[in-house]
Amino acid sequence: MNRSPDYQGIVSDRDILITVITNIIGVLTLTSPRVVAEVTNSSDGWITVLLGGIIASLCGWFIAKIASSFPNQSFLTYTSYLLSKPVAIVMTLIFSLQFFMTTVFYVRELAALSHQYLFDHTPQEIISLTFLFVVIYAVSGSQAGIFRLNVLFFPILVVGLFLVIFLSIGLIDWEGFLPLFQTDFEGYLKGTYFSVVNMLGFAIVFFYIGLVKNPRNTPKMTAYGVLVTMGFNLVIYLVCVGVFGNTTMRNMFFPTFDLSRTVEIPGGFFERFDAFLFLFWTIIFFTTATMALDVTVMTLRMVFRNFKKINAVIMLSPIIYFTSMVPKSYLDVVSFNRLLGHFTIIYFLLVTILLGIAFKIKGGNSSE
Amino acid sequence: MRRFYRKVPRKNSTNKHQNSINTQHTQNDINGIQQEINVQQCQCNPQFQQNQKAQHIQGTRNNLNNENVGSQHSQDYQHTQSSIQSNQNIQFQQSIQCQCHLKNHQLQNQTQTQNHNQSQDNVQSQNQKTSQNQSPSLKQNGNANSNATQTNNQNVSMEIHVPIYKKMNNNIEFIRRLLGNPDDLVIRELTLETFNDNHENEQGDCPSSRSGHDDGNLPIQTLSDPENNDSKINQLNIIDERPLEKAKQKKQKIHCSILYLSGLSNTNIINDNILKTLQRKTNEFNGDILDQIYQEIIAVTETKRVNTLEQVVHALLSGRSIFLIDGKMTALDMGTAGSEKRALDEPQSEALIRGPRLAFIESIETNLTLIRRELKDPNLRFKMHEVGRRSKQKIAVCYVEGIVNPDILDEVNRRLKTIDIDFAPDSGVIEQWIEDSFLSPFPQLLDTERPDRVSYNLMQGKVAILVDGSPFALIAPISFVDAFLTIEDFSQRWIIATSMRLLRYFSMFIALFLPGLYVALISFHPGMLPTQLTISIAATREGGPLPAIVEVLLMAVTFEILQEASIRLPKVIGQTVGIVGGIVIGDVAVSAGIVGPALVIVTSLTAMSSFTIPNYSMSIGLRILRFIFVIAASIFGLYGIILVLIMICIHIVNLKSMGTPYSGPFAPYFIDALKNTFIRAPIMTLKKRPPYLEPIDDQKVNSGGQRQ
Repeated sequence: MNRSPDYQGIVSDRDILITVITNIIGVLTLTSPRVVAEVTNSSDGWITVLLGGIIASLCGWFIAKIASSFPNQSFLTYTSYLLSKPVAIVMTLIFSLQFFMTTVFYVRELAALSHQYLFDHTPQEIISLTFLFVVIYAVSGSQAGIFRLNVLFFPILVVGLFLVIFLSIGLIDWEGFLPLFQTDFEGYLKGTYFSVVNMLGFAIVFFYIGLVKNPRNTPKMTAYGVLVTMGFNLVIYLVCVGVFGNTTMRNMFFPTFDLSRTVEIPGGFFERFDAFLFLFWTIIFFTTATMALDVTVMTLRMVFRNFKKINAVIMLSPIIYFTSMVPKSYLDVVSFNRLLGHFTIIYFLLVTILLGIAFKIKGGNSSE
Repeated sequence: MRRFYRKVPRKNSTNKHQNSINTQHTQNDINGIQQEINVQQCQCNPQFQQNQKAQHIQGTRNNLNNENVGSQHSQDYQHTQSSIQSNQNIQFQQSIQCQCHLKNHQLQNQTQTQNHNQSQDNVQSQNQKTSQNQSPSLKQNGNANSNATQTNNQNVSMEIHVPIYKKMNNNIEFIRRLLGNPDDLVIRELTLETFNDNHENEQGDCPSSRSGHDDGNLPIQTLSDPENNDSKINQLNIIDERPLEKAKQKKQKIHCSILYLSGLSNTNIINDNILKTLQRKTNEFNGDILDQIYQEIIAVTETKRVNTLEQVVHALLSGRSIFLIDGKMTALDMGTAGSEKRALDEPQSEALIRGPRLAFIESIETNLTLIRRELKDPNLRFKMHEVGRRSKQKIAVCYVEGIVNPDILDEVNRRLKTIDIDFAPDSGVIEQWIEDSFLSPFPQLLDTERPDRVSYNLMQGKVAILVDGSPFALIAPISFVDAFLTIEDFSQRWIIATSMRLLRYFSMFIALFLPGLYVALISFHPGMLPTQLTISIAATREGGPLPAIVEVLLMAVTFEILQEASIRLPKVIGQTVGIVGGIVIGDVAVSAGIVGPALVIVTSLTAMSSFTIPNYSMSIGLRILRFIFVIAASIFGLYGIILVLIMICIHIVNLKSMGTPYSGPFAPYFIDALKNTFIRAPIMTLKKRPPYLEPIDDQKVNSGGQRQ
């Protein structure tokens, strides 16, 4: 996609760092302690989270390195250069599909979460629809606006996470950690795998590096972003294990969210803290869903150049809505998410390896 | 903006037609004057022909006439142009227009009777030219259009050259008729004695009037060129006879007059510095009388020469006075403007405890002085614009060269040039013309009546816009947080100032969310409040017939009505409103069982919180948003509130103020700027100007503790 000069360089390195963090922290942050706990024993999950984080940050650094060798070029352009045009088009379209599905998942997931914790009676369809409207409104704006939105919500996200973590520290049962290193090798492997899946949100740098003004430091920033998120995940995991213990956590759906239900805010004004934290999570879901939809629109418009952004958004939105309503029960949503996770990591590895090999052979062309 | 801009020419061309058809009245009036003038000119010629200097005179006459022809045509041409540009008073347009039509016919007759074969051809050819020039502009061909828009870009205040007539009485009559013979037009006629003869004067005038035309556009020159050639031939004859003229100097009485509009002008200056000095003048004049008066007699510093009646009328309407001399085609425009002004006063809408207590007033000159008095920087610049087709108001763009980002400055100037209105009653009108999004509830330019706030913002690298007739200056570009800062933050120590700022942000959240939260908590999530509180609130609402949302809306609307009423009411009755609103409605509504006492707390707390916002425009914007929160909360509870909050955030990040992001220092995260927005760091550490403005000179001069 040939960008007009206005669109170039609207993003700074720091924005990428923040965007990576806000994009990775999402629904999976809520569930990941459970997923990890399912395959590990005692508190051993921290090793898998750590390993997963390091692997993910290496991957992030690597793809950002590839992408930043082609400053101000779109994913399609440099992939066409490295591989070939048809392959690049297919790849881009599969990415659109993947991010489209991510949006669908978030739209549905938010309704499910709110149904469970906030409203019992309000129909999920309405919740999803209103959420989707807000996401559409955000995506219809400028891309620079989306980045600013991420930056604007970043402090809210950090404050929300810190609240969850710090308020629960007093409830930690330190004995829950204790028998260390009880997990077998397969458990570690699976745990690491899930941790990496959890962190795959950094794949957006493939697409957004084209907007970065001077992408020299972007690989480093991407890696930092992933590491910071890994830090959050690690602490959240440890707190969850400390508070609930491994066995309890296996049976909780959203351990991170349940953490906030156990918390009592001193002062006694708010009886239930979780409803307020739900607001934080709405914002967190919103940023991730917005980025996903934006990438979908962006990748589609790379292939179909004459597509106006607003038209693309308007055409996609009903499809997103109806697709999100397809799974009948929440279990279907969960299995859908698991499939999406497997698909994402396999496809991501495939693309990374292909691009990596081609990059080694052809090298970057930083001079356009 | 561009779109509006394009529309202008079309509207006006139709206007012009309508005017020329509908207002026969004025046309006839001015036709009358024109005929008079022409008859006089025609009559003059035979008289002079009998004179010795006949040929000379005739030469200059012809020259003049021909030049008039040229200028009339150029007027015609320019008129079509200017009507496209439409900066002119419509009445004035009419007068010139009919003048032009008339002239075209008359000139043909005149030239035929005078047997000027050569010039007749010229005139005819010019008529053709004019019609050619006129027709495309009427048809609105692209050419004329683009031409017009180009000139409009370059020169906002376009001038039509109706030269000042030689006969002073004609000028006065013209001005009188144009202004509708007003009572406040003061005309003081005088008689001066001179040694000089008329012909020298004419000679002296010719170049000036010609140069006046040459100042105009190129087409004029090409139109009047043939005439000039013609006149040059005549002038050749004259030179031989000059010695004869010089010998014929004699004492002459010259009529002149001072014109001004009483009330707009300072009569003392006119009496003391113009009239008195003129009357005291004992020795006679030699040489160019106008020049001598200008140099020696008029004791007004701001004096200049004007050549067109349009300038004369504009000067009169601006309160300046005009000095006309019979037989001169140049007038003096003297700066005697001085109407009544309001005294400098304390700011009414931005009061503060500690800090300067000076506010702008309605006069732009005074306001500019107030700024200059605070900033004695030679780089302080005032770029003047004119706005209002009929009001001709001045607008000043203030900035400090070397600090301001030139891109922002260009953008401000460009937008100001697109303004096309009759009259701007306040800077708020200008604000709405040039703001980025007219759908936004947030002000995208900051209005302030404090000169110190303007100076402070100029130092930040921003641009201030002052409008004549408005005591509110506009500051651009701003970010969301700018509306929450006061200049007093810098007067207090930083810990206190920071606390005050945080308090203001907190109260902004209360003003926005509290009614919505009340609705959400009462109707959706009663479990979130402590059980005791929930029970006690429920108990007070026990007998209430209304659901929470209706209660809240009722009270909120009541409060808005009270607030609006207290603004409109005279100050004396204002206190009554406080009693009626605060005590009667609040207390009685509760005891009547219509609303719960908790809601009265919520409403009053919300109201008080919204008053902590230092900027009124922002405060009313948030008042509107509060209702949206209430409605969203009544549908979706907390979830609705958070969705609306996200939507407002989306709106803010996409909003721009003069092309810079409105989310300002928050969203493109500039930590340095946060030091002076969210908190107020110690003044010694505030060393940089806001980076999102990308100022040229980003380092403040800061040697600790000085007021900036």
